[in-house]
Amino acid sequence: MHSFLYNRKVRDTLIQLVFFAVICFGITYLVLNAATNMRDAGLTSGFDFLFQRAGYDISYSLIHYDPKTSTHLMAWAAGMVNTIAFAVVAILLTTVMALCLAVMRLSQNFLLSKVSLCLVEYVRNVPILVHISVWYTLSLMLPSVRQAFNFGDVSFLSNRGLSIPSVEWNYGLLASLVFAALWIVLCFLVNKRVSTTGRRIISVLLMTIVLAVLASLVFTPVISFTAPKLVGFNFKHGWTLPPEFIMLIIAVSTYSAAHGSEVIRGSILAISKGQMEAGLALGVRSNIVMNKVIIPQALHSIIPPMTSIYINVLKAAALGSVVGFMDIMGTMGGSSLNITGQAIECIVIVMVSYGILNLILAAIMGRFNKAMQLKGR
Amino acid sequence: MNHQASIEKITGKPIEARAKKSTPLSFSRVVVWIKRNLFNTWLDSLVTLAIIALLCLLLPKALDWLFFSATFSGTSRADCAPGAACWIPIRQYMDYYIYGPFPESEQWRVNSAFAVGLFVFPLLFSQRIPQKWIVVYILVLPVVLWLLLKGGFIFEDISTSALGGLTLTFFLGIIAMCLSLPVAILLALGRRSQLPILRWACIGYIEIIRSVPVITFLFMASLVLQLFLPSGVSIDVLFRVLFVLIFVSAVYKAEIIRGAIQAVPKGQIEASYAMGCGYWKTMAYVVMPQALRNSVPALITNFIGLFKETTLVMILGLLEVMGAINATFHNAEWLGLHAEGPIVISAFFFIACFSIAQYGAHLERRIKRTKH
Repeated sequence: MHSFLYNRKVRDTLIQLVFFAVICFGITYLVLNAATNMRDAGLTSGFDFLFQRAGYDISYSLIHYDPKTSTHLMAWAAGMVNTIAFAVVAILLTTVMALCLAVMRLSQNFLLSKVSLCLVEYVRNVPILVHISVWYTLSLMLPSVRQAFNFGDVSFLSNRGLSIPSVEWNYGLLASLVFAALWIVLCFLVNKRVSTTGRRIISVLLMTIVLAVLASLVFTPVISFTAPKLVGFNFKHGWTLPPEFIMLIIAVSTYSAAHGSEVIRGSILAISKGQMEAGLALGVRSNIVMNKVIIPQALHSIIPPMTSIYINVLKAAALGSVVGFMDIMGTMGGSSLNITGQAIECIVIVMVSYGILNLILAAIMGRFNKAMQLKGR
Repeated sequence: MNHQASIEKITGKPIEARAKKSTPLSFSRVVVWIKRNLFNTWLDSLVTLAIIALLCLLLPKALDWLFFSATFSGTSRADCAPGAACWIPIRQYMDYYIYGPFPESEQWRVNSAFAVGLFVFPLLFSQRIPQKWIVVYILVLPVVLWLLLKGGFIFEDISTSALGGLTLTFFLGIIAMCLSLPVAILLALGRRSQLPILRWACIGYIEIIRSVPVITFLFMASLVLQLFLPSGVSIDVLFRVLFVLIFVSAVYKAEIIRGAIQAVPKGQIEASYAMGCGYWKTMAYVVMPQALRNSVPALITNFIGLFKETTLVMILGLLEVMGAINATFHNAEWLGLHAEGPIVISAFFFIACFSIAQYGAHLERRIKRTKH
């Protein structure tokens, strides 16, 4: 018996069995508790509530959402689209600003470098909630629609938000599908040709532009813009982004850009000095060495930490509930939860939604990382 | 000149220049420095002039608004000078920001809690004190803080609603940090364990928690947790929040510690096994001392994140320092002062987090130095 218990395999199995049993017991206990509590409160578990009328308003939604007729499922979808829209814009802004701050910091101009240092250190060391509330307070000071800041008659900034020209796609579903299919086929062909040269992203971008220009020449313009116009007390046409959306984006992207710029700067400084010296010894100018030698190498160490910064940006969408921007947490985890009382289901849906978005983002960045990886000899 | 300066920016000064003794400061050297660092190319000069112009324009105004024209003393709104900052409410409520609604006769407990908590930093800094004592201190710290701030045992018990302001921020930050460390160590070990069920449970837990915003868990703690408890049992909201902070931040720490464990050479672990040490002995005496030591800078960065994250409990209605400051400015008398509150909160967090970050960077440099 003694030697049996001291057998490594037996012991490992036993430990795992006990661990598994404890976890199962814990989960069963919690679920049973929840079941009794819900029965006492007169609630039935299940996801049927998703198809009931939601009945609450969402201040800003990119898809059609009507508080009178739309279901909780539509509310979830609206929150999801809001989250994705927020994440895409904020991630792009984060990247651009992080690059600018890092370039400023590495600049040989003493003042510029110190300005960047101050900005980064201030933004980094103050909680994001403070940033959000500061920007939100600023947004309350924006002028009324009549006195809106005018950006060349195409965009306006007022207390209603930022009005920008709307982009319209002038074709129906079928024509769009044909375009998409054509684009995919052409990308595939280009991909095959350029797989040896490596400039894949640029080729695909070029391809897209060429296709769009060609289509515009042959048919009526594929994409048209309509500028917003002041009619009465509001802007007609164009798209209006509400102030809370813009301010949340600015707050979150400046905060993450400050973190990102440190990542970028660290990665560039971590490249061995010999690389720069070797390039210079070969008679190459320092900015060319930077672009062709240092940055491509730094990119490998930039992408993984940047991925986690991007994931933080995505998760920061949930902070929108502080200023009234409704993402999944605001719709499903907030209003729907309060109205239906289906707390567990709603929270599970929010967690799964965020999990899926995270996985997608991580997968995209993983692909990108792989594409940028050094090709070993 | 441009070329030379940009090379030096990347490569540092040539070795002989570094070895040379610094020559005394002279006028010509200052001119050379200015020329090289501020007016190198025409673009550089433009940028420099633009920044100087902006500073000249904004700095006097900002300083005037913040200090010179600002009102520091007074009793009511009527004393505030128009068009400048008004620091009267800040001075009036300073005690409230620091101690919250903590009973006044017991405030010495908060003071000593601050002292005990902040003593960790010199302790981590000192190289004379054996690691064992530091670990003991960190283990005992949450207990002492709990006794001092929350009471029980020998001290008078304080109700959870009496915790607020900086006291609450400090309480949540330090206790969550100390208590999440052991959880993080177990998670990190679990994730690297040979036992599949244990490993997958840890991986699942870490990945799920990492992919969901903290605020979701905070809302969950305030709304859903009650459902999972047997009827009649209810946990105070403060403890629920603390629980969430511990078990969420443990995940991020677990990843840091896992990285540090992976950096310990495998040969050492094998050597330890070959000497006849078991798993726990190997981990406790060989792996962890090195891994923890190397992860201190990253853990300090994590602590800064956690410290900033404690502001989120404001959403649940707990008045930590940011909530307390905001609350006073929602007072009818001080309504309309938009800027002062955020400035004070930012200044507080900036000073606290920046100094901890500098301290972490210093530790990191020291660890790097001793390694090579």
